[in-house]
Amino acid sequence: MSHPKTVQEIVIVGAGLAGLIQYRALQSRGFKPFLIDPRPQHALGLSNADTRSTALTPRAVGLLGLSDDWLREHGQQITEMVVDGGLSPALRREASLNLDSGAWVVFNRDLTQFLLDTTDIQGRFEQAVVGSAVEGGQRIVRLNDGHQIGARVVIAADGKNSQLRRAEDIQSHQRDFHQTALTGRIKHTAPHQGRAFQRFLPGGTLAFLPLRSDDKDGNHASSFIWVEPTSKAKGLFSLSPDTLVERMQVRFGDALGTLSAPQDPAWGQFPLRAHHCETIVGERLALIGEAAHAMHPLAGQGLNMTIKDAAALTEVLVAQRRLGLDGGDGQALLDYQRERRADTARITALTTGLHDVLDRSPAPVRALAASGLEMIERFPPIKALLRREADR
Amino acid sequence: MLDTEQTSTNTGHTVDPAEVEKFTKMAASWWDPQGDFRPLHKLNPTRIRFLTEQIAKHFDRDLDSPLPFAGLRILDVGCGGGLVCEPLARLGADVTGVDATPANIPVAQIHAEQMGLEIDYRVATVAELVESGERFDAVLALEIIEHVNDPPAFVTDVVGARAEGGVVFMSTFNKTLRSFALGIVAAEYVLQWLPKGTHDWRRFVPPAEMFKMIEANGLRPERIKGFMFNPLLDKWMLTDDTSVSYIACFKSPIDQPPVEPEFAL
Repeated sequence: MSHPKTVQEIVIVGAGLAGLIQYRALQSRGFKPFLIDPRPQHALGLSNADTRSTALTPRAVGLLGLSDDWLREHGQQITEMVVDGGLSPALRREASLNLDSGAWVVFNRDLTQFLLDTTDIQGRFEQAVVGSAVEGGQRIVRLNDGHQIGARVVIAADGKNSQLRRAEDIQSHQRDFHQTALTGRIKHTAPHQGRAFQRFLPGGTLAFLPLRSDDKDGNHASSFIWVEPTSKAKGLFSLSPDTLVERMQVRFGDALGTLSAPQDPAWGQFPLRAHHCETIVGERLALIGEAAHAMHPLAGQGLNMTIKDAAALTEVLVAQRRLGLDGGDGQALLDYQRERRADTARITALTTGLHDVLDRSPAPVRALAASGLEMIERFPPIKALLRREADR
Repeated sequence: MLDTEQTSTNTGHTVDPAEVEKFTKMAASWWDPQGDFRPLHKLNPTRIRFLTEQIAKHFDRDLDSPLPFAGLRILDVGCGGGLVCEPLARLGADVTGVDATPANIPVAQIHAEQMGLEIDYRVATVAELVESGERFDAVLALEIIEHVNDPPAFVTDVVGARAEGGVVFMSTFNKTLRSFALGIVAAEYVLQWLPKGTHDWRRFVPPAEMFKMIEANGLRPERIKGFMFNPLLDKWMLTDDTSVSYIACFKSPIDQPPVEPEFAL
């Protein structure tokens, strides 16, 4: 049976944030990428269950090309990061840490909308990829309507459970933290003054990222991520928003005044799992974003890593094009992998390690301290904690 | 890669399916970055960078514009599977690839077709092209002179295929102790990058000897760079050290006023 076949320059599978960021990066350098997603195109920005927000590093802001105007309208810059241990005696004695991050907190949803509004998107929607193979110098993806699309390089931006990754038999090392995160927006009576909070509690973490204040009633807002062991989270997170806020207030204290749930909370929960892959490239295939790696949200690095993936892959493809070389060339994709792997492994290990330190010290603490991970050095309270734990 | 001792005059017009199947398999090998030609794949971006930058400079083309080499006729002598021809064709050049090993030509043709590139591949020697009167804006003889029987005659033919105002590129191994240690002992015996016996050190050509042969044909060296493998980056780099292998660009003194050479022999 013969199916219709079309050829594109570069195919991106998955029109989530990773796919859209990659699309935009490639388009801005003169490529003609082509998106494939199972959702209808008009629904990409709607029905967005992603209640997460991200602290974009200044580098990520630059790579995305976010204007000052957009940032002022949708973002809040972090002026200070307050890290403490809540009830944990080990951390309680630590003073808060001044983190001069310059990071901008934005809702993933707003970022998605920005990308959709400012990008001229070509693609096939309401179509899932049901198969893919390399043939005649192209990777061909097969859609569920039988249509085939060939490209010199296919970029898998199809998330944590990437079908393309699985079909290629690329091994992914999973790590289930047996934790569940609840995330969303919360109102509070005291201004956050640009402060972010990270409070390490026994068994879980409660973190707040400041949001741009837009409430006419003088209320202030932050985005929260509340992590609890999954066993405990099942009951806890099914409580009513008002009851949850009370519990949150007990755990967090009054640094932000009185907390309250917004009118339509739309909070979302998701299980925390990390994974990394031994290889993030296949024949004419490159993995980006959560298809390539997922990490514990503790350090809030996930989306920043995705942005760096997209930027690195774009640069490799630009360099190839300038030399007239085939973009899906094995050497080029290895360049992308080399560029990204060390950074990804380091951050994944770090965030996993950080989780372990706070969850199950002191045994893993020694290993982590011995490995001399860079971020520990940059994170004085954690460093002090490690030193103390290691001395015990 | 190539031997100038021509063994066949197969023009490849009548290819039977079994042959195509065989060539397709070989094409996979020529173009498999992990296959027999792995060292060439690793070296390729580095030598292509040297070629494209020199060609762009000589013909005043902007590599950041689309199809920067449009209108230029380029000849690759000993083109093998087309590793150099294809990038140049993608940049817009009108590329001819010749190889005296007949089996290489259909391999290169099939791959170019897969890539959607139009390249004129032929089983021929450069001498035959010169004789037929064809001339090219750039003539490349890369990693090839070490495989020919009469290097001075080969250089004369390569230079002879150059059109007026054109450039010639040559690359090969130097004849030093280092090139013996790295180019033969390491590459063939220790790292096994290349099949044993791929190269014969006695056929390597030092830059001074190369320059003498080139100058005897009226050209002068414009630029020379060495290739150096960086094991940490797993990449080849261009360097001023030409003691192992090198690539050089040659022009006519008439085309450009003589300048202080920026290399040492």
